Amino acid sequence: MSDQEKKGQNPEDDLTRRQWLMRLGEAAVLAGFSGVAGEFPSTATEQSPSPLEKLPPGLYQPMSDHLSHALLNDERLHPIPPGSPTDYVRPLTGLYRPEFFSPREFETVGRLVELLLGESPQAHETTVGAKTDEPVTRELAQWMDGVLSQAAGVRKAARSLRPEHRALAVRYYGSAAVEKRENDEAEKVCREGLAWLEAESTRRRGKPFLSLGESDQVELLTVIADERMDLPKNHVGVRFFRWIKATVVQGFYTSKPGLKELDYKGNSFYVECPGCTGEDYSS
Amino acid sequence: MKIYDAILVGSGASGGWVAKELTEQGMETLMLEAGPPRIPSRDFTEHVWPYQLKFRGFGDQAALLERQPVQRLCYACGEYSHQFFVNDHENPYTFPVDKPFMWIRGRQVGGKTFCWARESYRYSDNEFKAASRDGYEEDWPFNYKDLEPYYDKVESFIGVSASYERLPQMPDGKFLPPMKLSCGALRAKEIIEKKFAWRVMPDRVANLTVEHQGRPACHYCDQCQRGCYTASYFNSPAVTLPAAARTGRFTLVSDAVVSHVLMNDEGKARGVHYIDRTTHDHREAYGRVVVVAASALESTRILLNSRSRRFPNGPGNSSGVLGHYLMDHFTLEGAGGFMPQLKSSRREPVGRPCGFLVPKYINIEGGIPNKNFLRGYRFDGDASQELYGHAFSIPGFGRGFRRKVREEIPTYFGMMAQGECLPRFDNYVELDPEKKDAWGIPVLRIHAGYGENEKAMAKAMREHLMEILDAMKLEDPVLPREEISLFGKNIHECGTARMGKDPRKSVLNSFNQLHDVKNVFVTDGASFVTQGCYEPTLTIMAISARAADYIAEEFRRGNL
Repeated sequence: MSDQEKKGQNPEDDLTRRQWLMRLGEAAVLAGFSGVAGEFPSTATEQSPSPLEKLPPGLYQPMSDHLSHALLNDERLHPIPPGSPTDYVRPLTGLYRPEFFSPREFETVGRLVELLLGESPQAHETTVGAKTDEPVTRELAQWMDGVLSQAAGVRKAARSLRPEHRALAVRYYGSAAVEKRENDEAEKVCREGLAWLEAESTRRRGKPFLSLGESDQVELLTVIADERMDLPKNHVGVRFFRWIKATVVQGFYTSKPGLKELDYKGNSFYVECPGCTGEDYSS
Repeated sequence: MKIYDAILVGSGASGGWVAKELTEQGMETLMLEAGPPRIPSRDFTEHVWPYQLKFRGFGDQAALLERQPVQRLCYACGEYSHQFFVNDHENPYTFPVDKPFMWIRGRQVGGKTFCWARESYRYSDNEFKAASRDGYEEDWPFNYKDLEPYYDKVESFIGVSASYERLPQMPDGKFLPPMKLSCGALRAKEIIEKKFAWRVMPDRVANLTVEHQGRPACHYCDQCQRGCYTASYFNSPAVTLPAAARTGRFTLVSDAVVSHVLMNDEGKARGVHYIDRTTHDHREAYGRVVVVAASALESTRILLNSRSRRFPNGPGNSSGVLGHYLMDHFTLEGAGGFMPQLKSSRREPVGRPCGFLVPKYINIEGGIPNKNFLRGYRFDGDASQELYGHAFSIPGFGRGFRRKVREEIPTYFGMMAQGECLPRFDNYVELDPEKKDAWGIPVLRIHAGYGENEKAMAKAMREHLMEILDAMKLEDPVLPREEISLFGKNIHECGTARMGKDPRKSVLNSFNQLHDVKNVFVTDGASFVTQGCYEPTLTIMAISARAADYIAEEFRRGNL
């Protein structure tokens, strides 16, 4: 692996999208984009329209200005077009106030996310949300708080489906999945799991979880982690670990550092169709 | 009040082609589209990262359950693209309890061309003349040679990237260079072609692999259904509708929900009645010709709702078959497994918007006969690296866990089979006697179920898929499901206003003209007689272009 590639593997890496795309060899194409509306690096044919043509609403012409902006956009937040039907993340003003977790629980969850990801402890209560430099562990703790505060609403919506719509969901997803959506209470799993964690921490070490040193915290997590066979599947702590690990996986690998760590090559710009770049695969 | 040469209902794949051809041939055309315009800067979500979305791409489940309880079942309707699908409460429909139907719709300028999967295969006489070969139901009133020049015209204009395969059962066309196969698909090609002598080819897709008619080539982000700024795949708002607009003879009125065709006392159409989508004002538009291209079931719904004293069952229904012979492909899904030879610590480039196809070989001219059922099926699939799905089954946590996720990247191979549904009189739509949509228009009651032929075909599809899984020597193979997919799930619903030579058995003649009413045409999937096992959209566009040629010619001659 070259130094360049090794650099790319490190999630703390400061590669911007532009640098990343150039690494892929698309520099020539990017350079051809001047950001002017309707302009393209290729030669226009007789049938190509005038760039300043006015079309009725709902019709459109190929545009490059958005594309070059999107590809060079390194921001955590996306600009929100007025009237957009999409729920973009909005910038927070001030501190994040958890909606589901108590402040204490929220701190504990933040620490658990750090442990699950192997990240060092971050300072608490000093960061504001949804900024480019916000640690991903904060971002995930906030997202989890959001998921849990919405969970009751999702269950209510699932239970309120008209019979014909529920019948379609059962036919499509299977009744087990539909019932899970209607009944599973992640809030309960979390609350009980966090309570178990505190009780166990006190029992073993006489201290709350957040006061333990890292190795003690890791030891406690390992008790309920997925490699252990000595606890039943529906054990309060095991259920909680299962939920929080899966949620952290979902959250981390949809985050900017997570996608970078995976060396995700999608959401990009390719001049040639991606195909097969591997060595001889039939070994 | 202006009387247009043509009133056109619907702005999707069919409507766009009719608009382009009629206006280019000199006809003043008014297009009415039920939905609103989509504005790229406001509605497209191309290149948005999951972490920039409130629900990280997993979707606002409560909102989807509340507003789009049916649409959300569609793979393409989620956080990035729900805006292109209807609100199910404004647009309800009904079905009998024992015949669930999943009706997926997009109502906007562009219709479903924003969300379609772009697969574009020509039908052959295996489809158009299937009845002549196996004796079941009716032939189409034209054959492949009649449609071939229109397939040529459509492909040449919109751009379809594909490989030339010289397969008689799926004719080659006018192609741009094909997309590539993934590593796993290349391996599958070797194995399947060697063991079964079945061709494995890249999907034929309406994405551009080179610049075409002023539209740049696809840049392989695989986000077509989020809207495409570069217009590198076919959708009507960026391809056919602008061509119509440039003639100066095209008027588009969006947010216009057409309820019925207006008939005069001589039994000819004089226009349409529509309701403003937002204000609910009732309006009329007048034209010498009416072309209905609102999508298969919506077009039939409009005709059924156009009852008059002269046409008590709706115009075009003297045969009694309007609403009948509804078809949709059925699929067997879920087959797949891991390819251990491709496990890697290196990320492959990703973003090709298509996979691979294995065309139909069963029950075609010169193919492999299977007497247990009529007609046949095809396969498609792909092999790709897991992004992070494998992380859910890697034990542990912390840096060691993350390293495994990063360095032990599996490749998953998945395949499904898609089969032909026979046209049956008993699969039909009618107007619901009670229920109305948000504009007071009677909704459709849909009666559709798969029958013995589909069940027998599904059995063969399943056996075949299992043989392929076996030959691929996959790790942790998952067998294909036994259950046939939900009717409507494939979003290829066709039929209900079929073409035919005999006016007693069909609604339309071979040029999509109502047998009963010379100046009314239906050009979309409602006109289909059989369906084959291939996606209908390319064929819908070719048929629409051909019908439009006929309309323009007949109009010039004063026959309409």
